Amino acid sequence: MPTFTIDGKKIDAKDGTTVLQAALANGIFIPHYCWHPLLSISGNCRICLVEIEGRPKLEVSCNLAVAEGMVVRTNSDVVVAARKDVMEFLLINHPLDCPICDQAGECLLQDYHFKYSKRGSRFKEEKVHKAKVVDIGPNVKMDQERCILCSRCVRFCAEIAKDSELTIAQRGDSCYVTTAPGKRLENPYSLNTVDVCPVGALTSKDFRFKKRVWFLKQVPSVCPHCSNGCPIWIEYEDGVIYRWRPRSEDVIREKYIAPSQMGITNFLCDEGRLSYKEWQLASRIFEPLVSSEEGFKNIGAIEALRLVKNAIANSAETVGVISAQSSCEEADAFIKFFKSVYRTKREPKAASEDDIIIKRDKNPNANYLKSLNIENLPADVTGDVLVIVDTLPEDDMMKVVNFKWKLVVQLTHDRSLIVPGADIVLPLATFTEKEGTLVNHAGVRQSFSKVFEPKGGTRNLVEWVELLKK
Amino acid sequence: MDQILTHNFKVMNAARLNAYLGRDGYRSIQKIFGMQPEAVINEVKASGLRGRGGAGFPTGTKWGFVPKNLPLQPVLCINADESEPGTFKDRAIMERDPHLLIEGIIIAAYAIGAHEAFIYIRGEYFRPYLILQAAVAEAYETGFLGNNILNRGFKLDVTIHRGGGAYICGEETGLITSIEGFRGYPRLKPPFPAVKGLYGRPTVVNNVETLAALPYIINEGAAKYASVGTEKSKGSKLMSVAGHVNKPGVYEIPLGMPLITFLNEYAGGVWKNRKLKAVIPGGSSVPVMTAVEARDTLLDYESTAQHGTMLGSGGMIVMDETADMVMALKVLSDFYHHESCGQCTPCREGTGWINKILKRIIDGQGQKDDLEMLLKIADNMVGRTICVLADALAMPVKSFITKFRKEFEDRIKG
Repeated sequence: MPTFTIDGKKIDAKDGTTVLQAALANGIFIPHYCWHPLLSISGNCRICLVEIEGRPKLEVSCNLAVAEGMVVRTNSDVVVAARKDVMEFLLINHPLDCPICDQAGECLLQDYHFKYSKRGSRFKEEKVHKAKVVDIGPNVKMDQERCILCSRCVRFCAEIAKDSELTIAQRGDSCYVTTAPGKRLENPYSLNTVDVCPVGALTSKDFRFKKRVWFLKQVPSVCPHCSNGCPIWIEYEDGVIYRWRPRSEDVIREKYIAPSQMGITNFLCDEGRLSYKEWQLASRIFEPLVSSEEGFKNIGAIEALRLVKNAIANSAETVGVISAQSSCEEADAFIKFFKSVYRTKREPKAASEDDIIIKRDKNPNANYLKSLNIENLPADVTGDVLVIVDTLPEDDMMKVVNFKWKLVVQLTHDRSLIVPGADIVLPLATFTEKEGTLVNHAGVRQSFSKVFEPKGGTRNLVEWVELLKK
Repeated sequence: MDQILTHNFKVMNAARLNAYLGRDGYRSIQKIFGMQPEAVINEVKASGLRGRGGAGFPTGTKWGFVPKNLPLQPVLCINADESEPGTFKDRAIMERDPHLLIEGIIIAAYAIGAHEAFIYIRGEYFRPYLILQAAVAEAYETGFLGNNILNRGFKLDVTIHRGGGAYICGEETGLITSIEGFRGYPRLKPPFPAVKGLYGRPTVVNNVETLAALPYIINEGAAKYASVGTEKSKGSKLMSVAGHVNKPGVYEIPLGMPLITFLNEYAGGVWKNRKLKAVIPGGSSVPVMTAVEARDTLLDYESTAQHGTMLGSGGMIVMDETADMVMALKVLSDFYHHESCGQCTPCREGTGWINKILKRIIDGQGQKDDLEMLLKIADNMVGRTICVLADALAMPVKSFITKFRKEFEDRIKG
């Protein structure tokens, strides 16, 4: 374990770590663009140059292994000057279009300029012009003029998404990032290139021009789109979710590093990231519904509860079906209340899957339900009252639709999820309107937080169960 | 001095194996097979041979960096990319005496334990490529290359790889990346090629001229080679001289020869009876010298360094009194701007910036503070990039402007 000195501070570093890693882990921030904790070392941006005692040249700290007795300075005059120079070089051909750039507010060019340079431009020449608003894939647009050619996106595609869709073409200051011949940026992880991009070169088609980032508030959560349970930040403002972004445990632990400076150390699949839309569709249910000849009609909560409670009280057998979309707390409350409970889960027909992070099981909590000792919904299920949480996949639907139930109650959040034959629908709070715990495919328990209060007459499952008990 | 590198240059058909064998060719191969590889390395160390590609690093020492007993076999790469403006000495060897290079390759491969060698030849060198390819084929046919060289159990395959026309692929790690089929980006060091180079294997990259000196060192002994040249710059050097001289061409000189002697006696002096104005002694990337500085400079690594420049590749560019130094620098900046790989920020942006300012000055739009700006940009580029291409433009910028400042000022004033 080598001990080295950085800015006068003695640090014990692990063997094989770089000066940059050791510095970050010990609260000393060295600026970096091309270095990213998930990616291979490229060493091209040159902003992380540091001074090492006894060596004639500044060296990039991202590729500098710590050595016993090494003395590193990250803030000496030469280092400070070199950083300013690199910032100047990076900005001479940059369009400086921050007022219309989506990255503004979370841009490392802006951040580092104010932190390390603050120098006005001395560049009097015509800038190099490159392509703008390039449609490189279904989810991402590119502005080649804003790009600083750090190659993070190129390395992300090659190393993490395992699909070398991006490359750098041309040479010198004519270089630009582009898709490889005949390819588009359409791997299932393409939106991570927007996250790893330290500047406004790659932007998300979904998020572009929707919100200035400084208005966004962040709440830590877990992506419920599949059983992998990726940690996320839910970013929202004024009751509306604008985007999900990967959240790294490291970032939380090491609070001194703001997420925008650290970049991400984890990533999301595009499908999961864009699944936030499911929780704010126009078909969202806000009040209890009762089926009638003219379709579903709003019904007061008191009346709805009265109908359901009566039916359950007069029912010889009430069957509950709990979905693996529910949290642990919801499942616990539901099972305690109903005697006969089965489990179900969402099973989309063309479920994506890979050996990176996308899991075939599109439910966040199937592992927990499995551990509760309750059976899958049997084919010959019968009873008087059926209470369904969330929704039923086609197979399970076939098991219940042909039986004459006295009453079918469904607790769900969106009209598109109502099963045929449902008599009463109680509006459920969405994933973002409750807090709770989920157990992912590997058995890791993670909690997620409430972003908003439940809207309209919606409640979470625990509260509905409490009301039914009364 | 013996002609170490050029003894076959004037021989008819020396590029063909028969003629080469008739000139005692491949004699050193029998000799090295009787030696331990370590002994070959020591012989080369003792000869004082330094890399002739430009950096002048001791060849034997470089070979010694290859770790012993690695699970991965070492590889030898031969840098025949020769793309530094003003340099055309390797071309002469490949065209006129290709078997000398192959003989040197066998020696080097044997010394480092490589069984594969890749010659990375500049794409524009089509004729040298054909000649070299024919020579390699001859060497295979007669058992100087292949699975069992001269039935002595040593295997060596030589592959010629043509470049696509990028200057940066002459940088040793850019060359390695290019052979692997990637964009010719120089690599971050460490790891150094000697440890992890071509296809992740320990790799030595040697220049053509360096390898061409090996047969002589083995045949005649390190001491005889070392008796040529100076105390620290031993042996002979090929100089390629171009520009305003009467006899441009490739000449072999003992290291340490006075620059002026070389200019007058070999290159035939400055043409048209004009006066010497400036010399770039070792390829366009080294600092330019004024006629006064050139007067007492010796052509060796130390003396050129003392005079603030470098021997480099030995590609000498001579400029007479009529040369337009502003235009000359602008042309150089065109080249380095065009050839920057674009990887590192200071080089990618700095070469373009410098080029634009120089173009503006040439166009009569120069401004008072342009020269200071150029010097600052050059300073901000030097030593801050993965390879030395940034320095290769920064050094000419600094030396041209400081040494010929009045010309630049006059141009700006208009």
